[in-house]
Order: sequence, then structure tokens, then C-alpha cells
Amino acid sequence: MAESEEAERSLLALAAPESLTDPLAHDLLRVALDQSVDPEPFVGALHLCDFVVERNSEWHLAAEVREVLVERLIGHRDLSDLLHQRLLSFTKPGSVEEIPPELPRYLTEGVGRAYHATFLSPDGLSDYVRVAKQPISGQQWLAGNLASEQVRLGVIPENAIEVLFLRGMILYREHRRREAELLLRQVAESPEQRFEVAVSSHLIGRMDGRRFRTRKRGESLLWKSLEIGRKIGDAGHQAQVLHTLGQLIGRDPKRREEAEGLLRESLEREPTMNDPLGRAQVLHTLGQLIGRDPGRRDEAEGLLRESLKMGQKLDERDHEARVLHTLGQMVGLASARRDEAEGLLRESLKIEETMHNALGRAQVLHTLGQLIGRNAGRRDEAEGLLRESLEIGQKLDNLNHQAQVLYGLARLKGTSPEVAKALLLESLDLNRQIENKSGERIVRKALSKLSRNASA
Amino acid sequence: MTRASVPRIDWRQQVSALEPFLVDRGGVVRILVSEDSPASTFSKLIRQLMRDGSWSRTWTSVQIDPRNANTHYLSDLLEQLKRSLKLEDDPAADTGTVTVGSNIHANNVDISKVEVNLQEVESVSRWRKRLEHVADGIEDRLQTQRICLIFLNSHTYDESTLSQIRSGLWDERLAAMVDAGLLLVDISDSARCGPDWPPDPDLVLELPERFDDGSRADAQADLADIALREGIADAENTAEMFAMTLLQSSDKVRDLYANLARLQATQAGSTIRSGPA
Repeated sequence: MAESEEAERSLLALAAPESLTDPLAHDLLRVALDQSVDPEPFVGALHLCDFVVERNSEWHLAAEVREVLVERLIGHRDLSDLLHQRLLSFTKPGSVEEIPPELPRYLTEGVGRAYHATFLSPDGLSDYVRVAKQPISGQQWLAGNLASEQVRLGVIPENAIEVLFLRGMILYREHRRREAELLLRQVAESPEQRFEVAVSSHLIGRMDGRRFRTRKRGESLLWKSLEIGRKIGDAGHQAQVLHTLGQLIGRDPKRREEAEGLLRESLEREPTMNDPLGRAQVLHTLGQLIGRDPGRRDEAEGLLRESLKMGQKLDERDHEARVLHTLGQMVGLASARRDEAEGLLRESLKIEETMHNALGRAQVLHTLGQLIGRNAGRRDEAEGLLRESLEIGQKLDNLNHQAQVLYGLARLKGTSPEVAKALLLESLDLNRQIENKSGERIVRKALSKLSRNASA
Repeated sequence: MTRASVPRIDWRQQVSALEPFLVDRGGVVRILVSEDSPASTFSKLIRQLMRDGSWSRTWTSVQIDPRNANTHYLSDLLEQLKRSLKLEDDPAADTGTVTVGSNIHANNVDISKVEVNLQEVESVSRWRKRLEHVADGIEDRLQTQRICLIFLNSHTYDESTLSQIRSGLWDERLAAMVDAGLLLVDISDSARCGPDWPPDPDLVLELPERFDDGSRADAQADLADIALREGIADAENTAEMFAMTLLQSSDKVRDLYANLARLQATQAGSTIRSGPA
């Protein structure tokens, strides 16, 4: 082998994996060159280069260098297959006799298997879906990057459902909802009956369901998601979609019975899933729904207390805080129990503070301000709480929350009509910005009432 | 395994400024780089100084880099800190799994007339426990060792991740550990940094792409020493000639290191004789 060819093969070999350890680099150089070659001096010297970026026990080639080399490697089919086959074998314990003593984590945590298998066969794409199902982590982010690289290289078609789903899920979990929506909607629109379509339909259905004008489309996507869940026999998925459907349908006062049926069906499926937190969450929603019926408040309180107990047993403090918040809201509807409601809300607030959950804190402060504001003698205290809540909403740049608190401030007893009008107009503007039609309607109604009172 | 150590070529000013922090001072050191600064090489050098120097307390350094999947999100970073510092698992913080489904459970609180918006929070409590567990572990380790967190290219982190690292980890817990010897080194491009990172520095250094006249003379002297030590040259005058030639053929500091690597590989008898085109 000529020297220049050897040099090129060596660098291409080190570009095949996403990251390396020295033992892995040695192994790949022996595979790419000749078993008798001592690769240590080369790898040692390579560490002097700035494009070799050390991690903690691993290292990688700088993106701009690896990108060029990976493209070149594609043109050397035999070498590429040899290297990816070797790397793939390290992801399957027992498939090769000699595994380098230290491997980079991406090879042992599922991503490497998806990446290297896909270079060898389109069947590897299913491994990306396996990665997408895992909780959000850097490994999942990496899988998204590697899949995008393979799309760029022409190894994967641009519209492959597996990749759209993976990238969409990562964006969704990074709370980049608009970008996620673009990708997941494409998956949700697929007629295929598969897990990725079921999950995407669930997520897009939820997004659509929140917007007034797309609520119907959202509901039909949720039914589609449930149907696929049934066909593929995924009880956990069905339980979650039933929960979401129950929430969506429960917003319509005329369909509360139907919503209750869906939530109860969800609860029936939860025990098989060993997901006690999921069960506690459905009980929470069911308690909220039933609590809207003044005649069933005791029943609702029982469900909420059961949900709270489960959260406490699981030590899920954030769940506890949310249920205490709902309980505080509901108990506070009975004027004789306002002190008890305040206690529940203060307990919730304390947990949110311990958890450093700014939005949760802002929401409880909002409810607490509304509750205390019913007592004319504590108006100033209530205003202070609402202003504190508003300030957090502003810091978080959460327009929806700000719109709600401004409304709460306007409705506070003793607020002058001029101030109330200004607050409501501000709230209206924010609701418009976020296209919250129901918020707009509520604020408009309050504005009309205000002007009627002024002219009376 | 014999890995070539990264030779120091000049960088006298930077290393001298770092000295008090290497000896016993905790704090925040910011190293300003531009696109072609040898950031990764300088980071290797800092870690090497910590590893090979003789210090009253041994150093553990953890490199944090958004390009590294193991430190990409805050949760990965916590896991890496746990691994690097060999902290024990915390059963209370590590139990439970978050599946695709459970983080799409909605938690709406909309019983009152005003809707409170939907929250999609993964288990905050579990996350918080993990963070506290790692922070407690760092605090405990600092009693017997020094710890350095090196953020490499932090300007390429997503802003929200940096904000979480800043408020959740640094401001809440780690900032108070500076007096116990915790050191944070941030190597990033100042022109591309957001408002949340890095924390206020105790020392700011620059890492230029090229040598200036003063540093070039020091670099030449260092290279001549390397040539003699590594057997690249066998006499002072050839060593100086070697140093001068290498410097002239290397436009930037990072080119110099790449050229030196190529020479070392050839010198060691490797079959590989050239670097990437």
C-alpha cells in the first residue's frame, strides 16, 4: 500500500465512529491498514492536533474535519463497510472475540447501533426509533445529528418516517414546539399504522386541540392515535391518549360524560402499565373534571386526595404541588373553607419554591391572590401576590400567564374602573398575540361589563 | 498506552496568570478565543498541568462541551460529573423512568374560570434530587481534592441549557464552593456569548490565533528545546533552524501543533506520514 493511501485510510478509519477512545482508534487502524502495524505513535501524535478534541475518557475529531472525512469515506465503499461492520459488532455484546477495553458511550447506548447499522442496510433505521423512545438525553440528541448527517450523505431518504420522528421528538422535548410540529405533523399525516405515527398523532393532536380553530382536527388526530395504539397493542399509549382525549373533550361542558368515560378507560389501562405516576395524573384530571359539577365536589375531592396520596408515596413533589393547587382551587369555591384552601395553596407554593419551579410558583401565587382577594380586608395582600405572579410571568416571557394575571388584577375588588380597563386591554392584547380565543372572549366579556357599569 | 503530552509552546503569559488558581485559588477564569484559536489544545494543556504538576491537593478536571453527547444537556452533565468524580448513585434520585408517554401527560389546572396554562414538566423533583446529590458530592470531594470544570466552546450551547446550568447548578450551589477551591474555566468566543454565561470572571485571558513578535521569539526557543529533547535535532544550531522553519511554515498556532504532530508521528516510525489535507 502506498504511503499516501495508508495515510488517507488511517484518517478515514478514525472518522467512521462519532467519537473514540485510544483502544478503539488502535483497533480501527489495524482493521483499515494491516494487523501488524503499531498504531500507537500515530494516535499519540494525533492528540497534539487542535482538531482532536478531548472529552473525559473519550475524544472526537472536530466537526469541520470529520465532516470532510466522512464524505470521503462514503466513496470508499469497501473500507466504509469494513469499518461500520466492525463498529456495529462492538454494539452487540458477544458478536466479536476482541472488544477494545474502553469504548465511547455512543457505541454502548444504542445510538452507535442505529448509526452504523444504517450505513450497512436500511433496516438500521428501526434502531433510530428505539432511540427516539428513550427519555431525552445527549445520546438522543446525538442520534438526531447522526441521522441528519446520513440524510445529507444520501444514506437515508430525506422523508424517512423514522428520522422525521426522531428529530421531531428531540425538538419537542427541547420545548422547540414549532419546529417539532413541522416534522411530527408529516409523520402524523402518514397512513401507516405504526408506533411513530401513533405518537406523532398524539402530540400534534394535543397541539391542535389547544387552539380553538384547530380543536376538531386535534380531536380526530387523537382518535387516530388511539386507533393505531389499539391495533399495535400498546396499552400504555392507549392510556395516555385516552387521558389527553378526556382532557380535550372535557372542555366542552356538553361532553363531560364522554370525557369522564375516556378518563376512566385510561385508568383501567394504567394498572397494566406499571405507571403509578401516570395513574395519579389521570386521577388528577378526573378530579378536575368532576369538580366542575357542583353536585359532585365531594367525589372530586376524594379523587384529588387519592392522586395526592399517590404522588406523596412516589415522592413526586411536583405532582403533589399541582394537585394541592387544584385542591386549593376547588376547596376555595366553598366560602366556609377558604382558610383550608389557603393552607393547601400555601403548601403547594412552598413545594414549588423548593423545586425552583418558577412557572408553578407564579401559577399558585395567581390562584392565592384570587382567593385572598375575595376578602375585601386583604385586598392589598392579594394585589401583592398577583403582582409577584405577574412579574415572574414577565421574567419567563410567558404571555399566556401574564394575560391571565392581568385579568385577575382587573377583577380584584376595589380596583378602579380606569385601572381595570387598562389591565383588561393589556390582557386582551396579550391574548391576541398568542391567539388565545377563549382568553379573548373572557376578557371582552369583562370589558363589556365594565363599560355597561360605567354607563349605568 | 503512551500518549504524547502536549508540549507548551510559549503561552507563558497565560500559564503564569493561571498559576495562583492552579496552586490554591478557586474562582472563574474566562479564556477568550476566536474561531481559529487553539482552544482544544490549550484545554489539553491545562488538564495536563493539573494532572502532572505537584499540588497540595490532587486535581480532577471535567471537560464540558456541547458537542459531546455526554455533557450536552444539564442532565448529561450531572451524569458525567457523577462518573468523573466517582460519586455513588443516589437511589432516590435515580429511580423511575420517563417514557415517551409520561412526559406527554398533561397537567392542566383549569378548574377556575381563568385557565391556567398547561405544564409539561418532567419530574422536577427527581431532577432536583439528582442535582443536589451531585452538588453535595462535589462539596464533599473538595475537602480532599481540587475540582475544575472546563467549559469548552460554551458559546455553542443552547441558551436555555446555559441558563439552566447557570441558575440551577452554578448560582444555586457551585458558586459557593469557590472558596473551597472549585475552579471554573470557560473557553469561549466572547463575540458569540449570551448574557447568562459565563459567571463573572476573576481572571480573563486571551488565546490568540497567531504569535505576535514577543511570543514568536519565546515559541522559537521552546520549539528548539523540543527538537533537542525529542531527538528531532542533535545540535543547538539545527534545533534553532528546525524551530525557525516550523514557525515560518505555520500560519497559526494550531497549524504549528498539527505540523509538530506530523513530525512526531514520522519520527516515531509510524506508517502514517501525512495529516488531513
